Amino acid sequence: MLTKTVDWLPYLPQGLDKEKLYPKFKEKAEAVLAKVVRAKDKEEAENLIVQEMKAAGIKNAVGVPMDLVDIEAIKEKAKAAGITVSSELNRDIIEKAEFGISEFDLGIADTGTIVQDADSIHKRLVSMLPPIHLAVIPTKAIVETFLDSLEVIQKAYKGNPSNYIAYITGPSRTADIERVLTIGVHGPATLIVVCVD
Amino acid sequence: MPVDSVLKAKVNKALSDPVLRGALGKFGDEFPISRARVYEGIDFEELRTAIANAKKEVIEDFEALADQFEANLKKRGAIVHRAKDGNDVYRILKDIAKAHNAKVCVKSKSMVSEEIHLNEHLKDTMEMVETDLGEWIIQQVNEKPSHMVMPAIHLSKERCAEIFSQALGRKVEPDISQMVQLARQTLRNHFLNADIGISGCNAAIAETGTMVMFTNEGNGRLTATMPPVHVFLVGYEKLLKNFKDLALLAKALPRSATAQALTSYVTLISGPVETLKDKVGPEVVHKELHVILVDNGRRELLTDPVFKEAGQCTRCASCLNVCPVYQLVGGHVFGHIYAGGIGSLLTGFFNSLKETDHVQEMCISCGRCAAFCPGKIDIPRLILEMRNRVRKEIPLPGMQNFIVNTLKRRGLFQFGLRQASWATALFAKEGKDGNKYIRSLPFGFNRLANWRSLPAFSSQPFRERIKTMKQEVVNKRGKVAFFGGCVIDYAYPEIGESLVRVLNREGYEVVYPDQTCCGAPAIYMGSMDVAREVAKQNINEFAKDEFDYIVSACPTCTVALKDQWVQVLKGTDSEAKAKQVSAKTLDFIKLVSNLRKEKGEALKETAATTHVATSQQINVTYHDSCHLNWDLGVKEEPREVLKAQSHINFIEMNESDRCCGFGGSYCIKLPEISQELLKRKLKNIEESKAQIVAVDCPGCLMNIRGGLDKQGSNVKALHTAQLLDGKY
Repeated sequence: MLTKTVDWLPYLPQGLDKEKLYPKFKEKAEAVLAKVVRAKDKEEAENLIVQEMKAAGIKNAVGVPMDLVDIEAIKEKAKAAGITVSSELNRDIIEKAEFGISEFDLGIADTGTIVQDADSIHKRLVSMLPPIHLAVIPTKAIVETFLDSLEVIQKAYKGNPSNYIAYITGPSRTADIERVLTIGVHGPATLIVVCVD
Repeated sequence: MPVDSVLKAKVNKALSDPVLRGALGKFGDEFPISRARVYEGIDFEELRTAIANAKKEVIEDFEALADQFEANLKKRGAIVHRAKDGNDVYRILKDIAKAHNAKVCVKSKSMVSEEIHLNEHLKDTMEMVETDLGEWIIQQVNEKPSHMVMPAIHLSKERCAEIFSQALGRKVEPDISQMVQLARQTLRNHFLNADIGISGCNAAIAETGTMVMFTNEGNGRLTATMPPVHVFLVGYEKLLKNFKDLALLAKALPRSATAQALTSYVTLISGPVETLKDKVGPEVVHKELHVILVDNGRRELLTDPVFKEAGQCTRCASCLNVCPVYQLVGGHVFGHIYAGGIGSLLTGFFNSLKETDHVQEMCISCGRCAAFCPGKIDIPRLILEMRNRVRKEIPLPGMQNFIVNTLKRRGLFQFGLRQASWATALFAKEGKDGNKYIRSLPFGFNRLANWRSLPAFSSQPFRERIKTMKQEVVNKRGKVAFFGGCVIDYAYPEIGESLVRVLNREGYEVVYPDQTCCGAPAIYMGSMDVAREVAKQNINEFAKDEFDYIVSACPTCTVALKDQWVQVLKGTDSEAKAKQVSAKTLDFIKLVSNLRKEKGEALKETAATTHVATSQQINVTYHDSCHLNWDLGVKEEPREVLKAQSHINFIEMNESDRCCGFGGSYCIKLPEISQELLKRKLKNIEESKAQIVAVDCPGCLMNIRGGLDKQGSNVKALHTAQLLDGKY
């Protein structure tokens, strides 16, 4: 059973070439300071996620139940590295966590953007509050443009979109003081995207 | 009073503020470059035409779309309110706050809330916390945003550090990333404790009842997520029909606003989202979502036959970012709540004509902003319309009013200009280039001449000189009517003579019909009625079948004949004649370029036919006159024609299309601004290492030549007609 209420995959445009779209997605996302990695399957993705947590030197992570990876498996693997991963919907645990893991529904190659049905408060909190956010997306769900993504949403929800749809392009940023680009204001300063084949 | 001592003091204060000048100057220089980069591969004209069309459709139907938007939101369980003004918004919010016993309210960016001074009116009800970094900073010192997208752009990091230190009660160093971290920590607590979140909205989609926010910091997401109650403030002009319209907006707004392909966050909210019960959970409940549709002058704007065009605004603020005047003084001088060109229009409706008076007076009418507007709004034209409306309520002071009204009394007007020749002769001195200059004026008039010399008026105006000119037309092709314009007629008749000789060589006889002022000064001073009178006085002499073309060597006059006469004479019995004149009118350089291309000759070959007074190669640069470039779209033609002259070595100067600061009556009204703009132009001219700067506008010529004389420069300023005539 899927963790999400509406599955977007059946509504993707026909003939998407992930070998063309993935490199473009990666290039555009990295141009706005996100990190993009690719995993051939679930297990590799879970290992990559743990690797990223270790590389960040964190101790406490939070995540939500996902389809592309198994949060329980991640918990186990992280435990071996001395990292605690919680999937409890607890505001204060999430707020104190150093790393948040959630699943997104779609990628946009044109702008290096990830898109999510974010009506679930749990999904939103883990992607908003911790300073590092790691998102998994299906590689095959990378579309070309912003308009393409809106069309998928229109079809998937039959014109009646979810109450909260989130588009994220790179880490949180500001240039409000002297126009100097500074990363990490209210949202995460680091965004890592794991594309799962 | 239009430009009074209060405004002058604000202008002078801004001009002498090094922080402001540095921040705005740097940004204004960098923005066009990064913007161009992020638009690479996108057809901007096509995109903005699509946006303008989508917005136009919305404007025609906005009441029905608002109803549809409201109905869709209600179906989802949102509570929709309609507010006719700020008072309604305060009342609605106070009721919501009372119902929830709210103590703290977090706000993400909302210009509507700034416009109605929301924080001031609600501060006794609950603590109002701005969460956008720039907004939070200015909130601490009770300032208003000086830019719609970057509210604190006028503050240095040192000033920000002072503000942080005071707000947090401890010493904060002027280290930007440290300050950003402190803001994160400080505001995080507010997010966790807030009872209500208030957000602005970039787009409201009628078909789905969706509110869209484009943000970068993540405060918009937190405001919409953490507190149990969320309130959106939505202006009617933010309505869009559907997701297709949104895709257009998403392509342009971040690019035009901050030169980003997309902002870090785009949030679509269509109903009450999940939240944690009592802020901490773990029980999940649905939020209370309120949407306040705010009018506050918008309905009037969107139904105004002229100003509804301003409803196409996306609030990207690129009109500010490219405005040479905004770059000098910022949004606290050139703005009320909304800054810059678009700000002067919105302020007229959202606030009052009185409040927009100072704002609209700052516009120099260079037209640059219109070329960048993703909503394809003719901002400079609308500002003139606004000025006209303001002047009906708040008339010009005595002297300026006298000048404008003299324009329509042609006899008195011509008499005055003739008297100027002997009056100015008293003060005239010869400059390096052999021209006569006035370098200082007595009494209070010296502010007009102490930053750039003025030309001495000619003892014999062009209208007299042409009577005795022998026109030798070889292989006659037709007849051209010449609209001289006051500057050429009375100050630079030699440009008129050059024009006659150049067009004679192209096979055209030049006729100088009886004429008076083109009316442009009246339009720029906000007197459409005077402009109409003056256009009527001219129209019969020019609307004649015998003329193949009507030409002017002053682009401001050309714009008057081509566009403004049609506008001011619309609905009068001269309308057909105005259209006839418009169809035949061309600026001099455009006509020369067309004629040469028509002849099927390569421009290079015709160069040999030009009488040249020098055998040496001469370095020439070119200044784009605003009305020729931005209004008439003539940019390449002068370059092609000049480059084709075998003895001209053409050099492009930096910022060739930046306003020189003349602006007609603007340089009399606000010489402080004009002087700064001219300074920059002269620097670019000198740095080009050209010997001659060619211009196509006698106004720019007067300004640039006067500036060059004042600083004792060896560079000469000439009209292209003079260059093509070989008169160096």
